[in-house]
Amino acid sequence: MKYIKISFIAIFICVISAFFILTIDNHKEVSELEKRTLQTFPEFSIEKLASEEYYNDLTAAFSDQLEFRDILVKGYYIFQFQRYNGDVVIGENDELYAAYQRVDEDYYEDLRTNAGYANEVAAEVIDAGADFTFLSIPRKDAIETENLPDSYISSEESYLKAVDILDEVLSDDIRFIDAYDVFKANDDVRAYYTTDHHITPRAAFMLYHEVLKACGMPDYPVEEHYDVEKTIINGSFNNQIGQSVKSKPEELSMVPHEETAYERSEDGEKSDLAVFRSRNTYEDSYMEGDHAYTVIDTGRDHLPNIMYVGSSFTNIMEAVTIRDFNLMVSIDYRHNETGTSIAEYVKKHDIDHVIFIPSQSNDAFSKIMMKKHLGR
Amino acid sequence: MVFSSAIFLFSFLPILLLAYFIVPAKAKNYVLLAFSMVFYAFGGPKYLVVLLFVVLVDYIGARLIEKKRDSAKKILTAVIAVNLATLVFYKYTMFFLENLSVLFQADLEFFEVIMPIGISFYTFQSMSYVIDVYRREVAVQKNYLLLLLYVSLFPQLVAGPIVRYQTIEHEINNRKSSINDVCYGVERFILGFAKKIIIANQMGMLADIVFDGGTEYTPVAWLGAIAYMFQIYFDFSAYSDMAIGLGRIFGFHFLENFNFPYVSKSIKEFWSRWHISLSTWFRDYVYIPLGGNRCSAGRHFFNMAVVWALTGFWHGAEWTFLFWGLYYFVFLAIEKFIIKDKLDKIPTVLRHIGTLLIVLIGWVLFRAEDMGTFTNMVGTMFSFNFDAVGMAEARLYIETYFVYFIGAIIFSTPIYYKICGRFENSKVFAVIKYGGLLVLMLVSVMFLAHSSYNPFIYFRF
Repeated sequence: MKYIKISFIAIFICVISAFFILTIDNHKEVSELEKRTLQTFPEFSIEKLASEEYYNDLTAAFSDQLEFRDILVKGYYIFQFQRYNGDVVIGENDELYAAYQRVDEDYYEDLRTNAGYANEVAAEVIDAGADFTFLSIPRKDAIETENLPDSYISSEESYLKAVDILDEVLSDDIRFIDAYDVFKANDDVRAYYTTDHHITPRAAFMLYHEVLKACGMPDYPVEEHYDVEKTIINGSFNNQIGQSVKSKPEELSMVPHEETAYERSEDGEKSDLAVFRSRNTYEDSYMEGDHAYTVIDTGRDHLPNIMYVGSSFTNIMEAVTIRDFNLMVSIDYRHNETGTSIAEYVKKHDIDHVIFIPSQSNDAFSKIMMKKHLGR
Repeated sequence: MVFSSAIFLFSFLPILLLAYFIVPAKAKNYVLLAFSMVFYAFGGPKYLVVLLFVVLVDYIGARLIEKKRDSAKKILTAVIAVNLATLVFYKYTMFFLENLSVLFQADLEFFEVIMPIGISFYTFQSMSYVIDVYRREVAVQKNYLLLLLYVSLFPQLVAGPIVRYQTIEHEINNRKSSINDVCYGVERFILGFAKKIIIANQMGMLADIVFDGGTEYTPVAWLGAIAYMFQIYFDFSAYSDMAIGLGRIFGFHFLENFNFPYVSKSIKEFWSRWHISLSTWFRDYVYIPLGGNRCSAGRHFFNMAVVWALTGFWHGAEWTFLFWGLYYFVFLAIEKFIIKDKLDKIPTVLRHIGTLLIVLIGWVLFRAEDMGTFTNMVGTMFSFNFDAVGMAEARLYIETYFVYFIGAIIFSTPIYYKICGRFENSKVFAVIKYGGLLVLMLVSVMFLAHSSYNPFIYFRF
């Protein structure tokens, strides 16, 4: 018995000592697994010993620099039985869905007021000379209801109820496009990624067709002008529930057959950021992420000018728009704090069509989100 | 620094073990002291001054009491006053200012006092030493550094158990770490580490979802409350397990702080099994000096009220904690003065259920940020809202946390220790047990690597 105990103690001490020896000299700056920068060991000095920050950095660094950290994190999923982590749920098809958000009756009551903001903005936009389209995109769980865990509450019902209210309250001057109808009518097309809350290129293209129709312009099949490439996607849900879902290659990047010449500016400054890129995240693939105020000028004055107002869901729409419009302006009021209204941008850029896409979530139509996305 | 951190397990501990076991016996205490200071510095180096000051006051006070027995009571009063003043200043100043601001409708929170980690524990521990010297229950410690070691010994410094000086008085100067001690210490540490990392943290996630997000559904509210009940037990008892285990590695025998409280059949029994070092501290240093139960019924009632109000307030500078203490006072008084011996006539199962229900509601009060949150949560628990949405939400949580709930239920009972005791002399069982513990440690490290969600709840006390 004594030798068993000695062996147990020896293994314990060897393990903790080995981790110490292997970790202390590490200097990793980025975790590929987690897609984040890591805390490195702070430089030692006598003065720093009195600083609380030094100890906090040291603790964080040891955790981040821990040898075998990536293997251990992956190993965690062997022993974790969660289908839900507070933000993300694993569906019956082993896909990821955003955790549902509860809405109550007050939400629907507020929606009537909130739709009023859209009416006010639309009136200003129309006065400024453009038309106003409200493009509503539901959450993934409202469309793929059959794949949700039994215990999951789909947002389909609350979304449809909200759309009914919008239908009733929104001004007749606003064109309303409901992506729900588009996706349901084309259920053979994957609308959302396995591990991300955004819409796929083909789904975006279906919506873009609706935009073209609203703008009185002809549409065309995606293959006519783009190759759609597949890749393993590092989606927005991956970081939240880690390695639980093994991603398969999915269509992500769009490669135009012909480049459209353009000049891009961000916040009024010339920018070299790309419109299309072949990367493995949605954010990296279209417009290089979210920006406060983007202008893409193709210098083709005979074509109309369009403006998108919304969040990351506009990015893919913006990218495909450039081929068909003279000027594409995009405003994201989550980042744009200039106080300039949509109508003022319409006047400034002589916009013909404004497409408003509120952030895709159950609270997309809430007071805060609606006001924020409309820049009010 | 917390035990359930990579820096503690893979840096502090191996270096300390190496340093401790290679230095000569005379230097071991100073190695432990130096490492305890470093350990505490991770929680805020400037607060070391407060710790050193409190121990210095108690050191001088105890020596004066020993020298001047005639004035011992006055010296003791002065020393306790300084200790309590320090505790009250750091722990309750902001609470008083906040309440005075509300009362006088004025902004009196013109400065901020941040509470040093573990102050509630180490002031109580240090005070108990002086009181014990006054009572001639322990000999005065003439070496300030050794007294500092007793108070600041890192395993129990920041979250207890509140170790009495008499418990380790002898071991400070004369102790040995046998193979059995180290083995038991490592086993206990790993078990505590796993309880904290695997069960308490997972239960904490569910409790946070329900308490922070609020709910209108009865089953969800119950699940949140039960999750918190397990979280607080596995969080705090795990810390005690690790503290006791680490103490044993270095040859100290700390007393048990928990004894499976959720198997209790009465509130009195619950408090004899929960945070034992605190209950006995209040019993020996407050309740008995007030007269205990050897007085009139009215005085006895008053003594109980004082002790439980103080117990509640000790846990935090919030009204909810005070009410939580008084909540237990009410039930203990009912048991003591109304139910009396009739309790034994109630079927065991009902006593279990009743006790757990009272404890559960108590934890809801303990977790609530204010009385409004508490009443809302308890209101929801008893609103019988079994709406389909709520049932579905509850099912989702059960599916998600099922394994952790099962683990929590099993380790809330003495099953593990009963099995270990039964096969104590079996070599095959020993290999399985110690092998299993090493695997458990590896799994816990995986959870640790994955999650940064590991604050110990009891640090804020």
